[in-house]
Amino acid sequence: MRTWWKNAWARRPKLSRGWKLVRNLVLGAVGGYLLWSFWGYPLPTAEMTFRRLERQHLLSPSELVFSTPEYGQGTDAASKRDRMVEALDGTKLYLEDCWFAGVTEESTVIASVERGLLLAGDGQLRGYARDGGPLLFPLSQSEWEIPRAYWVEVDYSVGAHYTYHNFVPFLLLDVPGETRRVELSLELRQETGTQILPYQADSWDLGGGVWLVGAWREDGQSPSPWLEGSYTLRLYDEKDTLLKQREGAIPRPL
Amino acid sequence: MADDKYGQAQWLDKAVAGIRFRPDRAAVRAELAAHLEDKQADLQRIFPDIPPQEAEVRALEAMGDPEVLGRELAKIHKPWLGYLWRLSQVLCTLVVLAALWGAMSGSNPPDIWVHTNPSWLGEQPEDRQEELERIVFGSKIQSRPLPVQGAVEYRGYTFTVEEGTVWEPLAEMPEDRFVPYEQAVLLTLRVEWSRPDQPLAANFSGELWAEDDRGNGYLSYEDYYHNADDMPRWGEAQLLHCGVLARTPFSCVYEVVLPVLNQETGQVKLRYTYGGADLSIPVVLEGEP
Repeated sequence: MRTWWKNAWARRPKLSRGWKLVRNLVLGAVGGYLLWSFWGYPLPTAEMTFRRLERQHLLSPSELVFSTPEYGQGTDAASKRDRMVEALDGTKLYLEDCWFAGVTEESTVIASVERGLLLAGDGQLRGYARDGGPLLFPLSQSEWEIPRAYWVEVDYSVGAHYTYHNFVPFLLLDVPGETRRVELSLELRQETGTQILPYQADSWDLGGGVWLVGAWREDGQSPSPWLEGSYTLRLYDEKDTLLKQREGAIPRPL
Repeated sequence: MADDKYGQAQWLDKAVAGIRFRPDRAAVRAELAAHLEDKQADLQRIFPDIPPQEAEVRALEAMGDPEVLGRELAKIHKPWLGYLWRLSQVLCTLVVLAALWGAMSGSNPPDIWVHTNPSWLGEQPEDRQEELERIVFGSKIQSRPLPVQGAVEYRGYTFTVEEGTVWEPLAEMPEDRFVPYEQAVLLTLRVEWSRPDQPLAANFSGELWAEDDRGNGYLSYEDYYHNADDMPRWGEAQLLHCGVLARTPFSCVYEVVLPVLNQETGQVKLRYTYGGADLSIPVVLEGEP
């Protein structure tokens, strides 16, 4: 049997180097495609993945108004998956995964994309209707969990003491440019039961009419991942004059 | 003798110095060395009294100027083809190793073949009829084929209603019947795209809803789920069912079951509006589309 194999191997057709090259490249391409599909067709950048998500959901390409960086979680991040966004006032805000928000004339789409070591994997997308006014919506892509979001307070007076301030992230779009302060009161349905509780909210100007809002409770209770509830929003200019007030239910995705 | 060997080695080194791809250089050098050995052996066979040293010198002289030969060899042996060949070998090896790693790490198998799922209503037409009689109408029904429908192109995806059947009760239904439907449409919807990495979003089947020309809406599975706080059940109010029948890297075939409220309904529109999309696929139930 061994001799048979040896003879068969010796009788195999001999290819020139050019043909061997072609054979190897074809095999490499087929194998590469298999591998690419094996891992769910990851793309080189998270933004490319976001654009692909738009196409897959039959949406036209939106104009990006908010995105977290592909890399760079900063030194204080709780996880390598977290991405840091710096507000105009210098506050460093951390969000789980790469986030994108884009707008079209009638709607806004948000998506989070998981950024891997070399490639960006799959993500989930949601859309909300725009009506010309300030639009507040949860920065969440699933009904099952709220993405991790926090800012870090470092106290160097006692060595280096880190306090992580977790919050439920919301994005506020279409905010007039003259807005200097956002006041928001939120009431959200709780994780367990039907209880609706008030939340405190901090807001950070990210520029371009985009604000990040963090809702939190001192007792650390969490809302239901469905993020149902109501809000009252007040926007003030630099003289602290009320520019706009809006109240309503937290919108459901389209 | 040692000097002569050195001379031969020097000659060989000079002759192959212009070949930049190292494996080629080594192979050509070995071939030239074999030629030299042959020539030397020939000389010794023809002139048995010739000293080996002289045979070597003569053999080298017969081979010509190593620099001229080297230039010719360098012209023939292009380095890029060798490097590319070596690169292709590395690529093949890496792909095989990565595929093994992927297989062992439990990654999802690729979508390179056709995946099929059984129809929810049964494989045979009589099974489907029985299911519809049982869960939608509660009475005997008859069928007629759906007219041929046109394809819809939307944002790079093609939607085609491939075949379909309209089911109606045989007898007039009682006024106080439990289910309000007067027709049921069963169709297969083929969606095609051009790139394997851009299949239609997986939520399509769960988010597909419908409206008819009588102003009635039919909830998607997801809408119903969100509104009813419960999993939908067959035969319940105004719900469209959509499930995947077959999937390939470039297409997906869905089965759509839509119980329709009125017998007079002439057209329904299948709608996908998730995230702000605005897809509308008209389905004519009777006559020409």
